[in-house]
Amino acid sequence: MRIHIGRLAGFILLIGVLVPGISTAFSQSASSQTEAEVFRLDPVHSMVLFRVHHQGAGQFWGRFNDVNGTVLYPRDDSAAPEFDIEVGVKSIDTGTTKLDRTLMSPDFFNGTEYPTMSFKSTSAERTGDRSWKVSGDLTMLGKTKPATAMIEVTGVRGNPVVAKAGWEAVFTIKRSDFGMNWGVENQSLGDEVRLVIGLEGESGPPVKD
Amino acid sequence: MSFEQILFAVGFPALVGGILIVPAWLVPRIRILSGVTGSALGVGLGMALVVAFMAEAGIPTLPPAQKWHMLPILACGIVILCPVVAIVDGSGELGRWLIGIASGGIIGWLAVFPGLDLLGQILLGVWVGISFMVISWVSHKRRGVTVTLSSTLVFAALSILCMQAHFITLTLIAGALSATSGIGFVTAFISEVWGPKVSYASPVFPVDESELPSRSLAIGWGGAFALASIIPLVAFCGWAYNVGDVSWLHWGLVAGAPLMLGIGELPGLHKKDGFWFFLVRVGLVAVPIVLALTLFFTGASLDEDADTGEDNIDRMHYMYQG
Repeated sequence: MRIHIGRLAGFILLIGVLVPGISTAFSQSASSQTEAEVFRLDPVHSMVLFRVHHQGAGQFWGRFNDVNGTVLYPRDDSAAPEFDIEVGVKSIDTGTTKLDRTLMSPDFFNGTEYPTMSFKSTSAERTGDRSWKVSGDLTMLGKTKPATAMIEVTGVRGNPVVAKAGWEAVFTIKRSDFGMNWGVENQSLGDEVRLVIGLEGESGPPVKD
Repeated sequence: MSFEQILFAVGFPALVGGILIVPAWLVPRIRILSGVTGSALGVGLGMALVVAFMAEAGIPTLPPAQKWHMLPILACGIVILCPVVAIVDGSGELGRWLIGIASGGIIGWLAVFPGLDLLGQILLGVWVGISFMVISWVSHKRRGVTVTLSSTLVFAALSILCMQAHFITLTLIAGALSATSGIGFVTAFISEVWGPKVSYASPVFPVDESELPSRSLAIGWGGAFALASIIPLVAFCGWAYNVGDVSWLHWGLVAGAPLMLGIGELPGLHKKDGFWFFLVRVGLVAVPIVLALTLFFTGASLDEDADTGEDNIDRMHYMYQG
């Protein structure tokens, strides 16, 4: 019986020590959900689609597959996402190798001289539940110009330690602003380009390669 | 690419170049002016390059927005310096060496294309310098028809390589330069057959006067300076931005083709003249060009994924014709 009393006392002592610790840990993780986390973009599930008017007729679509960077974002959408994105020009993919090469040439994206494009957000305003209007600096062909994107937060999922989040951004830019003038004058290719960017990022400790 | 666009980007620049060349080479009163005839081809080529660039890529800025935008800026320099070089034409070996070294040094220093390290820049400068030494040497010994037909072929070949390198604007620029050289060839031919007889006092005429009839004209140091500068510039630019399957060997063979003109002036061949030896001299230039294109296209045909002319038309079709 003395042994049982001793065990009971030990158990109570253990509970007394663990419960406050557990509750503290839970309260800390609950409060961290309101803080912005760094989401590293997943290149496999992120892409940039572009659309341009061809010969004044159809809309031509292509994509860039190499998308990297980070998004600083609180899971509860209490603050705007902050984007720092870099796109590899040589990952251009139109479904036609020869056209990919032409678009990498100096007449278009000039992948030899400017291997990356980037977007870094500078400000944002809320337009609705999980939707934002984000302004920032778009750099292409070595020129940095202000650009504004409509952002939709497509989802957040995870546990207190690791989470995935997704965003969809839509830009409309004029390529001639960046010095990409080929075909603008004679209207063989439209000047206005729509960029639809699908992003997925993961927060949590960095994964070693 | 529409016919109108080719007309605008190739035909119009060639017309501008032609307007400068034709009167300078055919109108007696203009032709005898010191420096005018000798700079006509060079100024015409330089202007054609600038106009072709502007037709496709707009007005060039300083500093250039992209590294290849140095091409029209350097062409402007060539247009300005050509008359100066033409005026000092025939001033002697020292002057020729100085122009060769200076043109090579300046172009090698200013043409900083991607991937062109210090060694590459030195190579470009040396290439320009040697090209000037050879073409200026030939320019005093040989009729304008030989050199202009040769440069027409060289620029045409560069245009084909640029197309295979997927560089549309440079394709059109080289096409415009080929067309301008072609106008120079036709003008030189007309001069040769029906042109005015002008005194040999003009510095653009061959030094070895007894060999050529009075109607003949030579491109002069001005023309040599422009050809020696522009051909390597276009070739190095195409190589630097190549995203196709064109290798340094193809660019090198075509850019080096004008040097073959020197072989036609070696002892033994130098005294040979007439239509057949005109063909031989142009044929010597054509040899590396044909070799480069043959190597490219036969090499491409061995590789299923590589470009062929037919594939390229398909590419153009996809891109521009829908």
